[in-house]
Amino acid sequence: MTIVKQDQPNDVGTHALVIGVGRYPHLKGGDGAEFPEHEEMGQLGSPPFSAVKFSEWLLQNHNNPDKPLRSLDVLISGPTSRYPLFDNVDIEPATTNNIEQAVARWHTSGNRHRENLLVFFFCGHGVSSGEEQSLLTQDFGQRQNSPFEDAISFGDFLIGMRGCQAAQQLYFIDACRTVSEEYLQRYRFTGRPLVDGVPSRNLGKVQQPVISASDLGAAAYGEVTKPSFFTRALLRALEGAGSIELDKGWAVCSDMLTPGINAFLDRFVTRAHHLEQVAMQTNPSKRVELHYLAGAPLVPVDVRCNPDDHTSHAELTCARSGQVIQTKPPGGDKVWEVELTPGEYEFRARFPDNRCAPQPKMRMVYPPSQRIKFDCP
Amino acid sequence: MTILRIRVDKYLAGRNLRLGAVADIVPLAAETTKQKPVRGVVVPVGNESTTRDVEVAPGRYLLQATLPSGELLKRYVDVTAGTPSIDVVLESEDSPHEWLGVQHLLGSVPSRARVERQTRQEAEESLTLFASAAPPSTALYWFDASRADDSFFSWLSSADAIDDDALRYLVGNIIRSGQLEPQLTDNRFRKAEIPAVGALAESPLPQALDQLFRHGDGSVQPRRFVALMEDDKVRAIGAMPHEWVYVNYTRPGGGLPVPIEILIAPKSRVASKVQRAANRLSIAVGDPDVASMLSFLGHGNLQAASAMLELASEWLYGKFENPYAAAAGGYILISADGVADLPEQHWKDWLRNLAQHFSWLPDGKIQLAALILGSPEAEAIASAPHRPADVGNPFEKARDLSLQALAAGPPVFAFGVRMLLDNLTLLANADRQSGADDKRARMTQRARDVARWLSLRIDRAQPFTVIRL
Repeated sequence: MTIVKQDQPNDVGTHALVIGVGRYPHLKGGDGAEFPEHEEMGQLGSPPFSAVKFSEWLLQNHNNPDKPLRSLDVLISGPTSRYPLFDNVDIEPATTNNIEQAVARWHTSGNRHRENLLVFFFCGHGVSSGEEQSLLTQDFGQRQNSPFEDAISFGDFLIGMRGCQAAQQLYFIDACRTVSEEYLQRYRFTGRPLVDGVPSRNLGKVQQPVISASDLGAAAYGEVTKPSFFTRALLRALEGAGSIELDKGWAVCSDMLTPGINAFLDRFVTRAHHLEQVAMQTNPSKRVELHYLAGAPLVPVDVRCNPDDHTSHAELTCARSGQVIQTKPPGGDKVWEVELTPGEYEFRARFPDNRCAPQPKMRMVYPPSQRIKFDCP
Repeated sequence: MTILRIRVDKYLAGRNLRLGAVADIVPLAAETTKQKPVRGVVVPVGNESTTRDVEVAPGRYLLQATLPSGELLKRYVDVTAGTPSIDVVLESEDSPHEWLGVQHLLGSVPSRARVERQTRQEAEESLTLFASAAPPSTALYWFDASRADDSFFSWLSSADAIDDDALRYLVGNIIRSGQLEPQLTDNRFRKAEIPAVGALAESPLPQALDQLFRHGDGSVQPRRFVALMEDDKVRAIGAMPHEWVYVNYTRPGGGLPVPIEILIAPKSRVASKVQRAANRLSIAVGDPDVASMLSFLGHGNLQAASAMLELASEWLYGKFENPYAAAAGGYILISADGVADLPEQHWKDWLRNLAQHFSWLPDGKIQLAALILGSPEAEAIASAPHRPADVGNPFEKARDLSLQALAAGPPVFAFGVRMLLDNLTLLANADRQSGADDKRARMTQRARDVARWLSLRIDRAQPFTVIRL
């Protein structure tokens, strides 16, 4: 059991379960007996970092006055079990057994009040086919004849969780959704449901938005010693790109998060690595409010020149009410990336070599993102 | 006050989607921030001048519209006092071709910019490899399940184990009925359009029979499918919603059949490395209203789809004009039940009628079973230690509906596959917990395995059921 936070768990609030699986002993490069049908799946560097960073955000930044964080349960399989964030308490690994127990606790917590919000975060290997997605636990491949005994059948898990009283359940799945039809079909089993769904009057009344790191059939990317791109984009979107202004203030909501995340994935993956990764919301759902911002949201703004290579020759500025707020001197990348609070700004591009003189642009900045382009004929 | 006349400009080959996008109008400047945002405004998409008109006070506003594909469009509007109206036209990204406008709006094909980027990357890769495999030869066939082989779906639903090869053989060699020629093609996309009226009938139908097809009790409606073949192997089967009638009598074209688009598009680079097929099959209907709502739902955006609940209710009511649209409405209403203000409660009665009157349409039965399984009565029976075996009880009714649905073939809509699997899983779990092991429990377990088989093979990105083989 690794409950890193428990605060009046019987009261209405948010209950989170965070799982990061980077160490897979039975997959390629693992330290256990190798599962021959590993399909080139191996050890992952990002998930422990992703799980820690998302936990850190929940512990230090999550702000939902009606639904404060009541409990946080963390399971991480990585090179170490101790993390400064958790006061070097041993964090249990994300084995099948530990996940099953943690889900049972999480379900029990959610079941106490209909007004509860449940947050589920998984980062690790995933395989999918059609409507089915399997999330692999640390033990995957241990049972060579039935490897999916050590996987979560995510669709069945969602059905089971629909029987839980908590009316709002938000799921973040930071895993590949590359299609492995033959792999899943070979075993005729997609994983454990963890919670058995049975007929219930709750069935149609539970919101379960699922935000997936990638489109169906696509890969999710990460770097070995950093949180995954999706988690990094999610954490940035939580600062405002995924928010909307509601009566009670700026709220990060399920339906706004995906465009906010994608604005950052565009920076981190497409622009920096020339790869495609698009986060998707699946599972039809109404809006779920996760977090209220303490101040104004930070909106990602990308300023560029057309053609792209002119950007590095330009001095770019943005000003508000006549006062220059940020400046990019000549040099640098093809896109100037800044974060601004909502409002009206004047953007200017000045070329010291006088190659062109584009007109200033007045633009409103508002979540999820803004793009400014100066055409240089 | 000033009227904002809002529309999204996008070329859709002469079509205009009345319910094409959902917009929020957010007041921004200090003088307007006291006003509340107007959310969930349904905006038309197309080239027509039809607009959605919204009255606002002077000030500065952000208009943010979400398209069914998930694309977000933004526009800022300054409203000065004394201005009677302002035209607000939002522009979508370009589709790869004008003839792919509808498919792009619905999210079935990426934008022109993304396609160009992918093409450049592929070209670079093939240069590195010095060679690339020749694309497979593709062909589209349609088949009429009832005419081809009466036992096709009963075989599918009763098989202990489904065998892809056997299914491929059946479809490829026994029930192939006619070829469809794509009329519009480039080196990536091929589109066949099935004209609206009687295109697949071998001879023109007598008027009375034609009426029966569309207005009768539904028992004679054949299930029609389209098969994608690559190098003479069946790679995908799609449920074709033929004939689709536009249920809106107040608009031009209301009450008339609309064409169906069938598109062959290349799979993504990552997917194509691990899948047998090189192409995807996608199906779209030229219904100006239903198409966008289904895509919103497919992209998980119930928030947007909920802005159109009244229409969903109307489609369900108009089930005898278009049972397919009624089923689409049913999925939207069930998804929103309990979490949104539904227009009225009669829709549950209409759903019962859809399930009862259209024996060939699995979707209505699946929806009614889901409704029953979420009822307090079913919960009470499922949790009782000794469950009555009476087939009249709601729990057994849900079981019968689920088994009948599977025997009628794959659902028309992809949502139905997940919902069918959910229903059968709930029933099988309840059986297991109560220790039931009779014939009906075993049938349920077997049906669940078949539903899982379907679920593993459907193309999740399509609103209509496409089974990949």
